[in-house]
Amino acid sequence: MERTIVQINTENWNCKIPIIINLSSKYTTQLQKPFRPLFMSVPRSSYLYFDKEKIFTHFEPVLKELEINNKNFYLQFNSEPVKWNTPIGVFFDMVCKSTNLPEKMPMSLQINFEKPPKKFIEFENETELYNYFASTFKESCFLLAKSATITQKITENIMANIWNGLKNLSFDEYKRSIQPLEINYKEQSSLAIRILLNKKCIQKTTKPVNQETEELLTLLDIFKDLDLIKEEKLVPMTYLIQGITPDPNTPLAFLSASFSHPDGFLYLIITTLN
Amino acid sequence: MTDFDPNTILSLVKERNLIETQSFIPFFNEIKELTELDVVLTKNSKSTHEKTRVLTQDVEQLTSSLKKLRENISNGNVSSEEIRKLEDEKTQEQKKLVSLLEKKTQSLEMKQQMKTLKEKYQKKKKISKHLTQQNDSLKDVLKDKQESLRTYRSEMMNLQLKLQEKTDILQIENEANTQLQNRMLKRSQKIAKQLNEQNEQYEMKMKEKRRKNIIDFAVKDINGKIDRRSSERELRMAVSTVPKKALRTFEAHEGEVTCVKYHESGGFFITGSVDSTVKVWDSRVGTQKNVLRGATSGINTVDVSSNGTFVLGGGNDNSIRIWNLETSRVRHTFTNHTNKVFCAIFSADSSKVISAGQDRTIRIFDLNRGYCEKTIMCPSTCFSLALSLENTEIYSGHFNKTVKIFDLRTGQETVEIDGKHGAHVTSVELSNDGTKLLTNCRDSIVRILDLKRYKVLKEFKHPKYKNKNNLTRAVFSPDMNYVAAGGVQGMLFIWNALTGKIETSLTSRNKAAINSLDWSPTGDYLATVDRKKKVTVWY
Repeated sequence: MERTIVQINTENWNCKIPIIINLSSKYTTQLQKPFRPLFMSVPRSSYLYFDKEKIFTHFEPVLKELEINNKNFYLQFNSEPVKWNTPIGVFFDMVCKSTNLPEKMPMSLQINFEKPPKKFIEFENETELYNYFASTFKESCFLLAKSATITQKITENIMANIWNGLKNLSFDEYKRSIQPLEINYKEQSSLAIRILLNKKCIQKTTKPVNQETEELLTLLDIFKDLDLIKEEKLVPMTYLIQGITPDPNTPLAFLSASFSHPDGFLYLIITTLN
Repeated sequence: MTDFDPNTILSLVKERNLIETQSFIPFFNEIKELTELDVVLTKNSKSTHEKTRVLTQDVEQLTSSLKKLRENISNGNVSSEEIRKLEDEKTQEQKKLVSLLEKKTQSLEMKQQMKTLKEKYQKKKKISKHLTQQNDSLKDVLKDKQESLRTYRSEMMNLQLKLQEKTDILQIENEANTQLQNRMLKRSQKIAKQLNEQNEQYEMKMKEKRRKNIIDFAVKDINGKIDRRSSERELRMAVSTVPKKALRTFEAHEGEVTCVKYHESGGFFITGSVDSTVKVWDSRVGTQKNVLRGATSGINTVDVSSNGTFVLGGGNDNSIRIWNLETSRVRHTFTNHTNKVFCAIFSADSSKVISAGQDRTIRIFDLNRGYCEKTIMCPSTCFSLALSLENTEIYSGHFNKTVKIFDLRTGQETVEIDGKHGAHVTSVELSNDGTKLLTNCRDSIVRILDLKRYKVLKEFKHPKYKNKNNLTRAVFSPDMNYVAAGGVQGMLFIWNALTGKIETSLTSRNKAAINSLDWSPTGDYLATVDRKKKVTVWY
């Protein structure tokens, strides 16, 4: 089973989703000629922030023509702003794939040069994103151990290596950097799971093992906790983990080992159909 | 749990990858190619636009020139106006050229000016640098001078402090000086007072003398020369009694009384003291008759001339003074001795004084001429002198336990009596008949020496008699029956001269060592002087 976990992880790291970025409709009316859109394939586990400059250089000529001085921009899907600090795969699942839109791919985003909405977090440079990433990673480690035993082992060096592994999109580097922390999901005291239920984020920590029966907990148990099971049947909903819908009986330990994002959390996206 | 199969999940994941990434790969490749093409095309289009624009311009030019040429051909030859126009254009162009050249030269000049200004500026910079250097050096010099000034100021302060201290010291010294001067003044005033008293006394005495002279001259009838020797012998043959008690004791001087001598008449006696005065006392009443001053140091020996006019005193100031008793003035001062004078005696006719002292000389002074006639060297300090009856020989007692006899006229030593005494001989005294010599010695034995055979005739001892002074005397009684000597603790011893046994030993009330003694020529009184400034008269 270990081999499958490694295989799944490598597949997850290599998975990329297509994106198209257009000018928002406000600007298109002002232009003389229609501006060429930007096509990108972005890795699921990574953040769009790494390609921010590329996007900006592509759309720079528009700024001169439209006489816009603001150099900050944000992307949005229809009306949903793209957060720089969520993995792009999570966003895609939440917004596109779990819906029943006809054309899901490529995900078309619109670039907007105005001030972002209020609850939007602005990152001025990459170090701020790095700090955010480091804090979420430490949070996940704390939750895994329910104490600071794993977080104590994280040195600045380890964190920097993890970040470099993420930037270079190399699973081997990431795995090597994480090895000193000695995380074994089956033996941890709890698991770090973030559930995005209907676009609302719930953070959960569940034990991998049911203490009474000494059986591994599964997705069903989470659904039970979330009241998604009625009359021993699942409520009509769609759930995704990294773009796939695993069997409800898969144990959570296995899922955490295979599908955890680089920031240490297992993201579970649920949208009820009602 | 049995439903769980990891491989199904792996297959799901692979499927997802296929859909999401791999299917879109060719799509993205094509987009890449298209964008590249687009860029290239835009570039090309731009370049072609440019080219067309340039070409159209050329074409326009060519058409215009063609038109012109056609016109020219139709017109025929080129008209002179056009030539002038062309020439004007040429001159204009040439003027332009000239102006341009002028501008060029102007700019060159400006450049040169700039150069010179730059050089000037650099020179001035150098000068300013030099000046700043000088300024700095001057500042350093100024600093040094200020520092030296500070040190000088501090030195000056120190010196001022010292000066103050010294002035304070000087003030104190001045005060002490004034105090000393005051004391000196007082002393000199005291001495002046004493001198004034003396002068008054002298004047009184002169008056009396003059009166007396007149009376005497009126009354007296002139006699022949008196044979003094016989009168002396007569006097000396007076019967002497052993004194039994101290008649009076009175304080005589301000210091130790060293010597005492009775006048041949027995009417008065003289004492000399450490307080450098010689006093004359009446022997019956016991009052002070005179004070003779002038010596500068303690008196060791006194003597009275037989006629009672002169008194001599010799002492520690190496000098012998002779006073005239009537006027109380110093008649002679002989300073020939080089050391203390221990004894001095008048010759029988009072024309000479013979003295001896610690300088181991015996000197003979002539009173008429007032100078030292002879000096006799002897090997040892002489403590006591006695003159022979014929005034030809001197008997002297010495430190080296000898008694010597000198010839007065030649000054040669004739006899040396040695081996008879156990210690220094402190006094020598001649008997009335001139045959015996009474000596007192530091070994506390009084001896009578025979002057014919130079042998000890008798020795007088007492267990309590101790001679502890170099100048003590032993005396014969006037009738030669008794011998008296004074010892320590105020004890007076009288021996029988014929038997040699002790007659009496008397002690004075104050138990002070007796320095000297003398038997009054009348035979009844004995005067002793002691260390506690007192004179005791025994009767």
